[in-house]
Amino acid sequence: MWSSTLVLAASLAGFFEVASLPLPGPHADSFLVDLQGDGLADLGILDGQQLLFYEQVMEKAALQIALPEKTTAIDIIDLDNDGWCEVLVVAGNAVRSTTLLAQPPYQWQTLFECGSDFAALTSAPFLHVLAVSHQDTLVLALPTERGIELRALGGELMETYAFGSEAGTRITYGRPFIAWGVHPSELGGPEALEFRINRVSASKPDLPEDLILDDSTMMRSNPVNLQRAQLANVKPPEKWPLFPLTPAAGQQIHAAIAVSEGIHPLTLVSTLMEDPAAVVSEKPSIADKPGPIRRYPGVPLFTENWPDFDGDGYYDLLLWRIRDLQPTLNRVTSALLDGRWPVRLTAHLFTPAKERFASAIVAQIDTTIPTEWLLSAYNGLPLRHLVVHDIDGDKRSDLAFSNGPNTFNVFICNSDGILPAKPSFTRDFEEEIAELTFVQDLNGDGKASIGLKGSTQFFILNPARAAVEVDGLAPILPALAP
Amino acid sequence: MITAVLILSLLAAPWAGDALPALRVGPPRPIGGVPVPNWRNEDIDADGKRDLVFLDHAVLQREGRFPEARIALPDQPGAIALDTWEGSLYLRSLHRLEVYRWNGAAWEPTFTQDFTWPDFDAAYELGAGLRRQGALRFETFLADLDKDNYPEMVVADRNAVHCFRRTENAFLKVGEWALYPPLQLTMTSSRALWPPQARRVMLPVRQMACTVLLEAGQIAVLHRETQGEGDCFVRNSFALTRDVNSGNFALTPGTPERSELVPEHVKPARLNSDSILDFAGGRWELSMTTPLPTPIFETWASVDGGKSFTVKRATSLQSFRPHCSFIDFDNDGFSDLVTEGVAWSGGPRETLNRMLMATQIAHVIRVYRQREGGFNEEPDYTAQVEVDLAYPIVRGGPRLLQYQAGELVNITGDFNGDGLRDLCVRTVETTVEITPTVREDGVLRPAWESRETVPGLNAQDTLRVADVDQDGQSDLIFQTASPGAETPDAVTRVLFNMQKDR
Repeated sequence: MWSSTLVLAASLAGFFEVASLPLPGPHADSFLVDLQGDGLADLGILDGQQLLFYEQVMEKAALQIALPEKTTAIDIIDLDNDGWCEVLVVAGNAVRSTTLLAQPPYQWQTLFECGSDFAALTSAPFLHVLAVSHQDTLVLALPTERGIELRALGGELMETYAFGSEAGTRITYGRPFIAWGVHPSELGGPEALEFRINRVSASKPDLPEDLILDDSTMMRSNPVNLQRAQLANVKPPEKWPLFPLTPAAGQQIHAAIAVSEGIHPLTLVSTLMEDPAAVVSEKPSIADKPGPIRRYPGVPLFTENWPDFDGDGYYDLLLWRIRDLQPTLNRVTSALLDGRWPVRLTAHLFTPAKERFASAIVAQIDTTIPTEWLLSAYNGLPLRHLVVHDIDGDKRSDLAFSNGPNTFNVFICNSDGILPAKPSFTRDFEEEIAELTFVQDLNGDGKASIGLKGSTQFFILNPARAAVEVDGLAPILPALAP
Repeated sequence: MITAVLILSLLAAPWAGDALPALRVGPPRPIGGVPVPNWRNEDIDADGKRDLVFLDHAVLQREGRFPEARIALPDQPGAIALDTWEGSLYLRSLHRLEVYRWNGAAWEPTFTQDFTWPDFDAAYELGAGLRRQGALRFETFLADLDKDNYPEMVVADRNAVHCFRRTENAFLKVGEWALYPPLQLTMTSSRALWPPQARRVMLPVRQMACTVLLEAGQIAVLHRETQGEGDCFVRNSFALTRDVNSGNFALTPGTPERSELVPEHVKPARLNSDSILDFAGGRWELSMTTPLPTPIFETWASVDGGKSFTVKRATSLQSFRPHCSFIDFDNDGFSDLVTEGVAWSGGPRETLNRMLMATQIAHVIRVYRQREGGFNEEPDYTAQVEVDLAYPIVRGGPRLLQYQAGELVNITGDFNGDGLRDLCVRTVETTVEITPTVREDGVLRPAWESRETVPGLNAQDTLRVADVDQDGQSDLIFQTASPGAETPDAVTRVLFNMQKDR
């Protein structure tokens, strides 16, 4: 029996309602899915061999489905166009499905059997897009040794798109084969011959236009990060890592960034324009020479998304630094023994007319973090579960982060692009936040919900709505209603 | 070019230095402590001394030194792989194998065979364009599998391991073994199913990674296997026998072995000579049990196939990486477990004061010997040294980076050839201290009274330890940081221990 709680964050400036859902197991993973085709996201939880589904702001698992043995890939999609999702799995050689409209225990129907790469896997089940629309028909895309096979729901092979050496487009993923000798041998004696063998098979298949390939794994990710920026510090700006200052492709302005090391690091920025005539490639071709180097106290918060606080279409600069600039023995001892370390976040808006970040600080947030976070900061990022996202739907970036194991803060930007000094919303959860699981607009209203995973519960921060049902159970799926 | 001979007047008497500009050696491997050199030791002039063979030249050894001019290797523009065997050079090019021997005056071709290497073009068609143009490198492809004193040649391609046996006139194929585990999908992490625009056909990437080990009449193939909530390692072994009549090798499969599920931070290792798969590795933890959060490096080892692990913890500096965690410290055939860390003393305030003010750090090395079935609970060897960092820890600096990279302290060398590893520390920027290890009443200890100082390092040099002349005594390598811009003052030098019976 899944216990649950629903908590209204009425006292928290009304920004979020916080729902908590029990976490069935330590390895459970959450995902979003639209079970009823109503455009509203529901929450799914994959916990080993079982699936759980919660409707929005639901307090108990509406559906609980045991997966067939040998299940590897799982998809959830409306296969029969009745408005309700089916669960589709590959279990060994069998492709099986069950409808969510049925009453438990759910019966699994075998659609067809065929060999695929999924059959050989021994890994735990994972979510995977199996069903895709091709020529207005829902088909299953299965990877096999021959290529990506498109099969009708009845199993008939429709087409095969090779992705090996026969692929039409010669874009490969890594080196197809490497064998090298280890000398002297690590696993054998002095006279042993030891080879390391690595074989990769993947090339981009020539898929029809209506099938979009997720080739993100083929992209060579080379983001600007702290290490690269620090290494760049001893080089001229022409060799600093570049960061585009607008999300749009094409002619755009870039920031070349370096970070000095030491107790009081500086972020060094020089802006420059991309050559619009150059062939689009991984590394932009720069038309002009770097502009003057400008220095900003602190280290950038290197995140997946850079902020645009004022919504002008240009990214802004968000920096952090240790608040006490003179680390005397007394201050350091006090901070360490207290277990908290003071840090300061500062924001500088980009000024397009001047092609630079303004030297003026438009927002300053003083906070403290656990000292151990400072020591174990990944990519120099002392805050955890950092969110840079338009949370309130006003097209301006907002900020959210944990500054303690159980704490989550949200800072909503005002119309001038200024972050408040104090959090717009803060919440101390009853357990440590282990993971930020999603930041997603769940109902199409432009406002983002935030999913957090604790040790025993999922927490979902939903933007406050006019009416929230708090008495009794929230409505559950019609199929389960008495 | 005549190799310059440098007798460094500042050196203590037993050390003599040769400038070897081309010589480079990497840091010691974390398991085993063997550094990866850019040369091979081979006795090419049959004088009983092992010479240095680089990719483009060789240098002969004379009385424990390398004073003579470079000998250019045979010019083979298309060569891609070089291996050595009993004084001969085996050069593989795209479609040929050539063997050369030094006759005292020139390289003499002793064997030539046109070759179509198995699946060669397929193997090298992509990602190896440079090698097509003759980017030569060392590869190990020779081994005497049948103990007839002639080497077999072993080449791996994408489908199989191929074996060629030397006859009087040619290498003939005597084995083709398709032993690799099958390709498996690699991208098995969950993907977004919603919103609809996030639904994409996944590019299937299939991968296979394994280790093939040929040793003592058998072949073993080792690979990682994901099982539900963890990974294990699978070892498939095959007995290797040669048919006397046909000369072909035959494989007899053994029973596959599957390890326990093992943590991600360990990998297969050979920690002793038994047939059980060992595992070794390490990871960082942040200890919160002390008043100050303390970085801890945990060293993990299993000698029972992953059933149980020995874990030793050492307090360290943030980002410190031990230079070597497993080495046969006392030459008994068992790899021993080494921990390195910082000796903090006093309370939190004293510790902080040192981090803010002190330019030296107290570095502690502990060695836990391996015995039958495990490692000793208490350290069998402990040494503490003061290392100068030039600046307080909080200010950083290049010396701190060298320290964190494990380049200032080295326990892998045996400088007096007694079978015990000795302690080598770059105490200050330009000076190395060597402290031999002694065994007294069965107890291992650093012999501080016999500590020896070797000056002469350039500030920007990297200190390496390797037995360059293969005399059983480790040598010091002062490796220049910029090999492309060498000057007489900035060139890689090797300091050989000339006092053989210390």
